[in-house]
Amino acid sequence: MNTRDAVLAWLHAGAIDRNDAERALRAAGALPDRASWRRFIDRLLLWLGVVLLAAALIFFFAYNWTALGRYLRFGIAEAALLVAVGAAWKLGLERTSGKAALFAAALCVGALLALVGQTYQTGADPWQLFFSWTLAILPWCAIGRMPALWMLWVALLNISLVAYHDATRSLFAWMFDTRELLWLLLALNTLALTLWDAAATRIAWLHVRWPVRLLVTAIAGIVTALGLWAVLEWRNGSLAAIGAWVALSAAAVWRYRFRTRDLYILSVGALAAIVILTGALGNLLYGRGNADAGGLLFMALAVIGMTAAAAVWLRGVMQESTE
Amino acid sequence: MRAEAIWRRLCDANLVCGEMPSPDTEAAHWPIRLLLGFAGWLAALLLFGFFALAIDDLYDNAIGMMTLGAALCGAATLLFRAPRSQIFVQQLGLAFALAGQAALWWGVYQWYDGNRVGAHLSVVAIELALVWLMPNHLHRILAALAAGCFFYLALSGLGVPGMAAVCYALLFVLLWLNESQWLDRAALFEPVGIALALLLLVVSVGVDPIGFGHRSSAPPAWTGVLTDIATGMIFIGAITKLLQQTETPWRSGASIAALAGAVLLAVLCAPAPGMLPALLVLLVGFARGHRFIWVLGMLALIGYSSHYYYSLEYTLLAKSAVLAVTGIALLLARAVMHRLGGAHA
Repeated sequence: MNTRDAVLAWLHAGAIDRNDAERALRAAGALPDRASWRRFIDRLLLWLGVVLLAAALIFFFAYNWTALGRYLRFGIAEAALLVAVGAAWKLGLERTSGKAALFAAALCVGALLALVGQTYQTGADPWQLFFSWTLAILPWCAIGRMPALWMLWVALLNISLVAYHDATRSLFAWMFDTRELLWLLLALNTLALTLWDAAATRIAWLHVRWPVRLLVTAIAGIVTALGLWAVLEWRNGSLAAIGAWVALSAAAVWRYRFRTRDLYILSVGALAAIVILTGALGNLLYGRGNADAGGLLFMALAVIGMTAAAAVWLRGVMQESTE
Repeated sequence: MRAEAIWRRLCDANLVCGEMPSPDTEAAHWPIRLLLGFAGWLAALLLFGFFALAIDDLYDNAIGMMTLGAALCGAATLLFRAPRSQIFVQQLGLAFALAGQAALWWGVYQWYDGNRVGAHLSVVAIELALVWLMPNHLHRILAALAAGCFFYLALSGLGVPGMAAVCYALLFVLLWLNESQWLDRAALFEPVGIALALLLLVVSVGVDPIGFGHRSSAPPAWTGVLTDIATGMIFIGAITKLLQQTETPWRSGASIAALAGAVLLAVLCAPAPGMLPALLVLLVGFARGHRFIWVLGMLALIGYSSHYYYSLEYTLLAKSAVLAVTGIALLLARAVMHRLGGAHA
């Protein structure tokens, strides 16, 4: 429970006088003071400014302003990249502004690679652009010590894989159908999460929750799609999908319930389980085409029952965390 | 921060005394609320399917559908208000309420036949009444969202869809920046405030998942200009109110810089209409210490930067110029802030 919720809960319980509610929020630190405002505005101006400038560069090259001439366009792209790298060098990667400049430089690399493809019509597939971009910024990810940059790197790797699948599907459709793509994405993101979690035990700057939650959300989405597909249309490979879902769920409970506690991840896991089990129940009741109203009522009650059970379990975990 | 530490701070400030009440295990953490919301929606879909199959004769009967909807909503209200009601009962109530509302909508639209705007406005009134009547946090968010969506549809039907964003923005600012007036009734107003943030972002940032922005004819150009001006005024008003709440002197450098920055942003962001509402949600959410709302604003800002690429109103070159000028202005503002020795927000 965060500070704001705790104060509101005590207010609701009558432990705090209703006329003191605002003062209580302020005294508890739920509302920002001048120093918090200063820090917040500073970060907002920096990151929003940098992201908007990088986006402006990408939009500019996407416009393909041929009248500008290729040398001038390359000059602009390279100058932007040099300015960003120079700023990161000058400001230093210990400072937030230096990190923001490095992040902008990583985005500028993408704009430059896109410009190369656009100008010389290299015939390269989009996946090659994204994969080259991924490779080019890897050294910066290594030295940047910045979770956001690593997440950009993982996102680019995912996009490369999807683009590769799109580019090769016509030739190797027998080999790469959507399910295989989902398996590859599942493997990639699970590997990324495992490495992140393993490294976080030794490296302090990796102790942020949002990248882990982002990766878990992606993994849960993919494994739920595979699991749902498996229970609705049983065929070769379905057992593997169910096995992967069970194994990942067990690993998540072990990691995020017993080793550390993360209510968000456990909730996402519970939701995935409810969706897959509801799909299995639906297939059991309606798989042979018998449309019966009672079955839907039974499924609705089953969903409510499973949700209530999950919520009771999660509240128990939450209570342990607050004790 | 742990509950004991927060309690100690309040004790030190003479706002509470005695033993700390035991943590309220009934109050759900936001991930659990998210789970309950998704699963409640799924159960409601199945429940509605059950009624659709069980009483398919009722479809063409407006009164019948409205009676069914009212009965389900009534049952849901009783379940929500049941003393010491457990999660299962609350979830059952949520599924009943959502299925009941779907039946009500169906009946209302049949009743009004061709009068779409009348039907939309009637549904808005019904949803607002349900927000008031049903004491369930999630249901209040969903019902307030539904009221906002139908309000948008009504304004769309009248040819002024852009005004919906202005109304959401105004209500959002008025509600959250006067939170101290309703903190003791947070159970009613907080879900409405969350719904307003979501509505403002969905309509302004341009995500249109169910295509409810579809119109047979484009709205007149003046409505766009009016929307931009009104949104800008609300943004400047919100900054003024924030300065007042943080007790920053009007003649101080911080106040002048903040107001000048707000005016500049309102002008610069006019060609990128999703930017100002996202910033508004981010700033107001941060001011009230509401993490869910300010994270929503931050995600909307990131989402809008990529969505803006596909907006057809301006060329990529014009959009690039808007982004570049705004980006440079923000970085310059930061440099000025540092030069002035870390001006107050």
